[in-house]
Amino acid sequence: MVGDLSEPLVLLVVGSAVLVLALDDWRPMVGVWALTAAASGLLLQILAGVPVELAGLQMLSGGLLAGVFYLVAWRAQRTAPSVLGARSIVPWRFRALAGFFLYLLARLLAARFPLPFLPIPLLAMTYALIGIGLLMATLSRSPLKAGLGVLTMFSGYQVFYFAVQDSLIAIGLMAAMSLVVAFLMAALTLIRQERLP
Amino acid sequence: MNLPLLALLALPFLAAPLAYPLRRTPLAAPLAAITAGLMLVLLWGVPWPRVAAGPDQITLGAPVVVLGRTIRLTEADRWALTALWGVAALAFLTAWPFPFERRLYPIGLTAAGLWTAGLLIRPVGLGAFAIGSAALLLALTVLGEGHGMAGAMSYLIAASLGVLLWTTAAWAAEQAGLNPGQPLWTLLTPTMILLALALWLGVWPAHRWVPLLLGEGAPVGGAFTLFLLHAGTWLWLPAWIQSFPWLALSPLWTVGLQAIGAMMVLSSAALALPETGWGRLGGYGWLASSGLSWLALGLGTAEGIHLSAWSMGIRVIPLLGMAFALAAYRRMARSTAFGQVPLAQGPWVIALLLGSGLALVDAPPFPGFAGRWALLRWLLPGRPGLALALIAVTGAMGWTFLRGLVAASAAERPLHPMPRSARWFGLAWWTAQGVLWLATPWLGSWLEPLTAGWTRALLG
Repeated sequence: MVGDLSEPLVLLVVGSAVLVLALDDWRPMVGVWALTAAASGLLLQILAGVPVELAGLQMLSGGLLAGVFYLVAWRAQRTAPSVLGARSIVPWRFRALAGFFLYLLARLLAARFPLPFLPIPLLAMTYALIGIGLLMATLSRSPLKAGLGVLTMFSGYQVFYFAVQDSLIAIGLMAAMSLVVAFLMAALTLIRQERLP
Repeated sequence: MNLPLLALLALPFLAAPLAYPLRRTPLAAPLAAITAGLMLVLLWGVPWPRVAAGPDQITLGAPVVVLGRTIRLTEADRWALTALWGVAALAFLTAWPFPFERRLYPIGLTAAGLWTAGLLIRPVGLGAFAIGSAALLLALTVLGEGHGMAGAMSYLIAASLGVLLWTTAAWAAEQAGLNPGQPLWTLLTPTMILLALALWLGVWPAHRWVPLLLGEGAPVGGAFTLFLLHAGTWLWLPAWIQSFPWLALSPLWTVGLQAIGAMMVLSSAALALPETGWGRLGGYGWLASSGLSWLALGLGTAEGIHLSAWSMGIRVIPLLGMAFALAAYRRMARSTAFGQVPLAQGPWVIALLLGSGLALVDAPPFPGFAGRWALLRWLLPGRPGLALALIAVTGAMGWTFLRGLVAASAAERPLHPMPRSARWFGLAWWTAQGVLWLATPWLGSWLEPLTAGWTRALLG
């Protein structure tokens, strides 16, 4: 049963991350990103046998971060529309294609160099989310989307970290760092771009 | 309970909320500088009792244990924190005349406070979270004049990736202790550390954020960020070596550090050649000078470690001079491109730009030249090619800075007057350079406690 669920869930997580990469409008982008975070928490619990509290923490922090981003974008719509609406110079089709290739590469890497302490689907998902997040962060010109990219990297890394780390303090601090990144991106999006006197 | 140690940890976090509401007033800079000064007073004014915390470890005061983790201050930490807070105080004062540097005070205090905590916390893996958070927060200090966004975003991406690598390295290092004899962990740990260093130091091809910080961001905030990322990491690495002594024995370690240093020096010279802005050139100049320190550290000899510490320390003055001059230049012309401010209208600013640029690349007679000369002497017998390349780098970088002086002036446009503080800062800066030049032969002896950690860990 678990094996049956793992592939569709991995595809759901990676597919939604690719969708975030391809989207330009902030509303669906934030919504789909929340779905990615929630599904990766669920996958952690199912595949890696992580305690349900920890997987819940991942889902909760994903929800919180999505909420923060929604509020920031909603406010930026009025105060900094040009910052919010800055679009990537790479068309969405190419971004989606790049995300798909990254996933294939991640599958190949995970199968070729497996790690003894992590199931292959989770390892592939970690690689794919870090790669897609990096792509999202570097291709984007809007701080909001770059922030979602950095947080996608973090959430990919957390899949790996939560599965192997047994220190609750370290896990809590890692989740707290995601909040720091969200705060920074909120500040970068909303900050008033002052001119010299 | 070690109250002075707790005060040391708490003071920056108490001062930051006070500096925040004052950040738009001229009071924020002295408040932040006084806080940094108080940190120095705490470090040196308190009669810290020496406590034997372990068989070969003496701490200043009893270590504090929180949730099973230890926070302790050693003699080497005291020197490291002195360097950190001393430079913080200078940076806050340097930023004083420029309203657009206002984010530096609260964020700088918080980041330096987190960095302090990261240096003192054991295990080192937990310190990585504090230092990582500090590195991330610094992204806000570079925003200032309507176009620091690209630098801040590039920096944030590099810093975030670096944080992930540091935490992975800490975890892998712990695994190496738990699974002795498995080569995976002893290979993975130095690899992760070197990759994290490459991102945090701005090694090509992950270098883009460094010139952007000084070229487009708030210059003093950018300089403080560069100092913490480069020198702060230098001060943090001995903690890694002391926690995981096998790390220094890895062949990857010395080769990797040397490669990082050489790459920083050589690539920055090549990348700087087509640049036509003082800010970006300043970024590449810092990369070239910091690379020399990492190259010297990678030599793995006592002389190399001393030279590395010496050259990292001596370049703080050129870095701050460059930051002040860039801020003043931008204040006058809204840009850091060549030729925007004629020499006649901003003589102190141009003199500072040129002087600090040449000092960063160790052109003679600036004091850094002594360190570069010593390194060349060591490298020449074994690696003549690299030694010659280092000489060429100084020439190429010096030429790029001089080119700024003779660049054609931009079309006449209304300029803001040169900040009055530029003259006083310039006088202080050139005096400091003169004092450093005269004191060069004796500077090394002051660094003994700071380099002791490195020397003990690497050379036994």
